[in-house]
Amino acid sequence: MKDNLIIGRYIPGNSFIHRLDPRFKLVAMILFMVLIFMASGWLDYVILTAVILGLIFLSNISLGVYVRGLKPMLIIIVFTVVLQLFFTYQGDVIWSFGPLKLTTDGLLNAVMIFMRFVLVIFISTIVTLTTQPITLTDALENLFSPLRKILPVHEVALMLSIALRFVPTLMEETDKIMDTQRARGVDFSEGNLIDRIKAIIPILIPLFISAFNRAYDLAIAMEARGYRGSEGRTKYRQLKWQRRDTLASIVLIGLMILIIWI
Amino acid sequence: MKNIIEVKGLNYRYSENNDQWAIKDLSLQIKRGEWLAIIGHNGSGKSTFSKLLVGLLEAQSGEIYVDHKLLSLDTVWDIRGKVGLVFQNPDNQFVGSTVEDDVAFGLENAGIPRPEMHERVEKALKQVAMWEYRDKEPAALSGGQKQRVAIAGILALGPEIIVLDESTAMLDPEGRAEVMAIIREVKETYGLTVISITHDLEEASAADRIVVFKEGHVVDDGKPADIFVNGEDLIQIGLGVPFTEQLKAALQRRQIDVPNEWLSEERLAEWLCK
Repeated sequence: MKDNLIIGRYIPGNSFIHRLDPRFKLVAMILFMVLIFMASGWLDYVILTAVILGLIFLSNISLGVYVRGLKPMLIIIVFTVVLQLFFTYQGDVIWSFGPLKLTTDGLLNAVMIFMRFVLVIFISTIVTLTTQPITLTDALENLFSPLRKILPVHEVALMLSIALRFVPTLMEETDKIMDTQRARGVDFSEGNLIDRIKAIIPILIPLFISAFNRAYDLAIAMEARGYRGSEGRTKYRQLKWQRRDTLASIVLIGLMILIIWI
Repeated sequence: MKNIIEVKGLNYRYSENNDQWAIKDLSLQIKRGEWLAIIGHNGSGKSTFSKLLVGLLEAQSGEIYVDHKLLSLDTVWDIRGKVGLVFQNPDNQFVGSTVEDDVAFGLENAGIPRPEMHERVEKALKQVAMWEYRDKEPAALSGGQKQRVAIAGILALGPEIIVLDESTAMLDPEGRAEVMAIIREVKETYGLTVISITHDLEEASAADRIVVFKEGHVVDDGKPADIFVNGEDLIQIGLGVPFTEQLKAALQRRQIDVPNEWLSEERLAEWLCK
């Protein structure tokens, strides 16, 4: 189950993309998504696809890994593309069957929607695959630090990093509880919808209770080690903006101007 | 030697309308540099005591002095800097997302400047032989390794007292031996005071002094040799006796005349060979 899940996974490495500042990567990812949705002509898509393929090459992770990342989204992609294909009524009709019409515009729209999905997923996977989750939370804390007066930025970042740190622990625990309940005769894979939902309860309740106990233990351990909130705290990790980040920013701005200009 | 911890007439109960006192009129002195083991059956107040010691719980009455300072609201953070606690569950006390971050957590809280923090983290991790694992996530570590990281996190803060609150209870024998060996080593290196709260009698028999808790107060206090000779009494409190005592009892039942004093494994083996 863990091996198939590409979303949110981090693959250690030392490529150019890996070494970029996570703050830059986060902002660039959002800008890229905006660009993808602004792209309207063929040329825009060709340029964006070429750039993203270039980034994938720079990340030193094989294209296959990214393609596998598309899998969980496959149904949504296919559904939207098919809808676009047969229910666009503008343009010349190529083929028709009852109310279903395949038009040139529909074909064009479907291809563009498909490209949008793929590019958005690729760009977000590039960020998550090449950035350690903890540095992502550091980046978020840093980016939101101007809002410190109105938002509890440190607390939110701490919650995020603790949540990320406990994901594998809780996954392992879920597996263990599922096996335990299976051993006692709970069947998770059969029956109708209601039966299956009922079968989840013996997993959910122990998991909740153990999460509460864990939270209590962790809070005690944190307090015993002198944690008293954000005040007077120093930071062990520091994000460093380097020359390559400035360089990448310039390239990104150039690309944005190019896309908007076309 | 001077006392580093003094406890006078401590009383604690978890809720107001509960007649059961978790800690009842407890008085205890612990000397600097001593290795003290606290044993007792479940619910004898051992773990409650460790939490009272660093002010995680507040006693209803009584006084605790750590290094001649009375534990109060003003001194509690100071005292927490002197006393490091290692808890039972290695997963639940791992705050950082990597080994390095976890060791640095206490230093961050103390507001140590970054360059010094890096030095201290490196030194502490090397001390527990976990430096090569500094980038690893907790999910990639064994239980014993996680406890070693927890110890490093405490060492980095330069404590005077380490409290092990059943720290080896969830480890396999190998991890347990690993953790105890490291505690022994750092105790010698830094001259620390160690308070080990445990069910494991082999672990307790390695201490300088054993205190037996029952219903929230001390019922017995002495060297391991003196405590374990009273095998029958220990069983009555709900504890076992170490392996050597069991063997001696079994030999006595077979009419073999064994010496009455407490023997370590080596000494017993020596005596048997004679």
